[in-house]
Amino acid sequence: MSTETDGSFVDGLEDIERKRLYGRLFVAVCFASTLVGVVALVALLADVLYESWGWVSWEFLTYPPSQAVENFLPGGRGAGIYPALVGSIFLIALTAVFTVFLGVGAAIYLEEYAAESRLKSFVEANIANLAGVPSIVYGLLGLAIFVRWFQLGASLIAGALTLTLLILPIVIVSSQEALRAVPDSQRQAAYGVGATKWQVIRDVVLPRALPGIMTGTILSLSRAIGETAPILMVGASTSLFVAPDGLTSPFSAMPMTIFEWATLPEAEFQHIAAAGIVVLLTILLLMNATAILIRNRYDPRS
Amino acid sequence: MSVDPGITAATSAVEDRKNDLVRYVFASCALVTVLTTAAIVLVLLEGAVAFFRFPDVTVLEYLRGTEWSPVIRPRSYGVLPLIWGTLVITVGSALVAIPVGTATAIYLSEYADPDVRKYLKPTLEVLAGIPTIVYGFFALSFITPIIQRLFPQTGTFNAAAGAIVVGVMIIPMVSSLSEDAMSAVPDSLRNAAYGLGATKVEVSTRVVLPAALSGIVASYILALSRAIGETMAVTLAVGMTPRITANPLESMQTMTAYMVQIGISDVSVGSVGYQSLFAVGLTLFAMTLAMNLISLWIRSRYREEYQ
Amino acid sequence: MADEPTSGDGPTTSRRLFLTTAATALVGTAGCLARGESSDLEGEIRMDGSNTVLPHGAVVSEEFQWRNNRVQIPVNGSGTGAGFQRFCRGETHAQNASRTILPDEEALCAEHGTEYVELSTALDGIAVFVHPDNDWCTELTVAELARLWEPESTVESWRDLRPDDPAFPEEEIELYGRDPASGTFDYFTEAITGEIGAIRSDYSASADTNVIVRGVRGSEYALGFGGAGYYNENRDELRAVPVDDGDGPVYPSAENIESGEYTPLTRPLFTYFRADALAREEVRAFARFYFEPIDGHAVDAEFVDDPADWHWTQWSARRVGYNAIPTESDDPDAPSVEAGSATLEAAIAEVVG
Repeated sequence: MSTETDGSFVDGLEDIERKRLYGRLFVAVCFASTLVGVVALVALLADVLYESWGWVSWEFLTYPPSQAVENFLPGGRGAGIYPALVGSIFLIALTAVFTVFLGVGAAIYLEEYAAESRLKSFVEANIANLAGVPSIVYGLLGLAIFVRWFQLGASLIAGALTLTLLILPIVIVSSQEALRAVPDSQRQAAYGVGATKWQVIRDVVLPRALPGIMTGTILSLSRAIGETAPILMVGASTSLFVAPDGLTSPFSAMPMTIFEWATLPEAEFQHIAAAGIVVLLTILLLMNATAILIRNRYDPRS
Repeated sequence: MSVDPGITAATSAVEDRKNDLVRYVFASCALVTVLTTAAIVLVLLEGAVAFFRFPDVTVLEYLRGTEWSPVIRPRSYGVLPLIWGTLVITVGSALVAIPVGTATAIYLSEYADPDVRKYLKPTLEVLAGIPTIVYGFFALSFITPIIQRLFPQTGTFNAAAGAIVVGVMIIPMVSSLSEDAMSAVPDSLRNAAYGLGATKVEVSTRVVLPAALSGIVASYILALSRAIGETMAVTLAVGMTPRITANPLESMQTMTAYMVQIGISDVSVGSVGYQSLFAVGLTLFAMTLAMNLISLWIRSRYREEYQ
Repeated sequence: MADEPTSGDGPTTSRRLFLTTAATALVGTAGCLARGESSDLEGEIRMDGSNTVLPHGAVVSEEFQWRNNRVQIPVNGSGTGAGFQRFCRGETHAQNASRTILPDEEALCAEHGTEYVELSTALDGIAVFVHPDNDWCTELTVAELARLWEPESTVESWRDLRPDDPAFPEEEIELYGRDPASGTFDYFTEAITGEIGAIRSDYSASADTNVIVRGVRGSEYALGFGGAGYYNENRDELRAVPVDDGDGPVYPSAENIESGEYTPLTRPLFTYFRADALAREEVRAFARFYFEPIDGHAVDAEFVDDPADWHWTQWSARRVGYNAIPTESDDPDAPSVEAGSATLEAAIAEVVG
């Protein structure tokens, strides 16, 4: 900083004032942007809750669906979302298992084992491309491969495998970023005391990368549970009386049931669909909360 | 966190084989992705070839025609209106999600209290989990009426509502993944900049952002990929009228919406209408592939690693 | 599987433990939550096809499953075309269809050795509706509808539609209708413009009739077509336009549709059963159930005047906003409960011998 006349010192002060103002403005803009997301979420949830108020009940959670609106009303035989609720949970649990193994495995290979080469770039470009393939294409794929070729039929496992392929690219990319974020010095330190590659990955890299991996997995499974097009093409049932009881049994899932309800003529079905959405979102929140608890325990910044 | 004493043991042949086995297992996981693409291309190609075999359908008309009507007579097979619809939604949603998402990520990473971040970040992630059909209904029942109040000539289906809703949907992808990338930037870089007299704004925008750029751009690409491939929300909100128009208040149709419409329709499997869905799918696949190759090249020029 | 990448990690293991426990608990309770009454019948009957006919098939199967809860009937709505693919290939046992089987689908079935019985199980009226404040359009002839909806139609305003009627305003008609890939669309175009798929290209299409209702409700000068059931559910928000097919304007009421007076916009809906599936006792029982008289709570429905005259296929049709086939008919080719039952019994006799 130069030591000149008082003029430039005052200029310097004004400069600092301006920068402070600009700084505050910047924070305000960033904070406002954060609020955009929150406000949108609140508006959406408020809309859904308003539509569904009074329609989510014990009966709704434990009875099979019906196309006749009378069964949903008090005094009716009883109808709800039960088989689809169980179906969705089973579907996501299966998908989670397949996706975590395949996704983290692939990410580990790409980050820790594969040398930088044309082949590696090709595989990564391929994965990034798969992330943008529309869900209905995965539905067509699942139909052709799992339902027809593997002869699994319109079953729970065909649905889970299809959803796995759908979210696999996102899980791989975000897991890769998480693995990449682990500083190399940590790895070198472990090698330095004689660890094998696998031991380094298992005991040093993975624990540190876990929060990031969880982020990508949460986002992906959240998406999978709400997807309609792929399971629709694979053959999820719109109307199912009992919950799926095996890997090869027919299944139904909440998004499909909700979508069906929303297209039915009776006005009450809009409320019933909203009630279904509430149940779906609750499951989602439970999933998110569980994983976040785990992530926060290991967040290096907390 | 402590290193297992077993690590200090010397590597044996068994360890070697175990390491090899592990390596092969992981490699085969990565192989699944390659197989997936091959399978997708096969399925789409088979259907598209059947489509182009129909007598009235020519590749030239498909690529250059501006009318898309494979089912309504008179029939025409130009795919440009569908491509236009997809682009309008993608660009529109990017206009919403990229600024908002990046600014949110900066706030969460650089300014927010750790406690605030702990709750705010997962709250936003819920947005990503809202099912796409819910966004579709939200667009129809909430967003479109608001747009109609501002611009009365807006139709029940319009591209603007679809773009807004898809944009909101992908905000958390941008914000969460960018925030992860920014958090990974070591504090030592920030402190060095403060030491040189930088303001917090300058540190955020001139030090952290560039350092985290590869992760941030990766989040943009993932988010845009999701926007292009978005299916149910646009099917419900944007409409089923393929047309090229600069007015976002009109209805259009995206490539994915068309595929859904045909996929669950009553048309006979094997007819020209049905097979057209594979041609559209193949086109979409080619578009996203081109986009991703370009972005990968961009990303590879900015990646930074930390010791 | 060999070494799992996350086997050493506490939190992931406990997360998986939580999931497994939860899943096991659910499987355990899943069995406990069987509703309805059981009978000796058990087995799985897969039903797919048109998602227009799906509500009807779903209600019949619901009622059947409440009385025979060891029979499972998953119902899908992949579309008539995709449904026939599965049906002919042996993946499903029952097919809902909003049209009859097409020649190439027949060929596919022949290829797979699949024989079937075709039953007409419900009727669907397509209503033309306008905004409730539209007081000038009191009826429309089929010819006017054809001029309005034909490809490259020159009709832009209400005045264009009926030039010598001063009550018809100079305002542009906003058009809404079902999307081109639906059975409703096919039937409407064939009945009105004379050719399946021939329609003007500038109308707002939707696969969800509720959205069409919303569109018409939102504009005084709008006009739309869709299933009559949707109109009936929104009577306060819309007005149906009586259609004149040469014998005077006919309103799309349930009576008019079911008596066959509302022409040409009444179409039959179909259910197909595979012959080899009929060899199974529970499938025969289910197929026969369509034509059996109603019982239980069903008789309390407000549209049931004489329970003896109502059969499950008719009751279900009314329940979901469609229209019932008559119990019997003078025309041997017209759909009726009597005719359907006879066709079914003949098919069963052939299979069972």
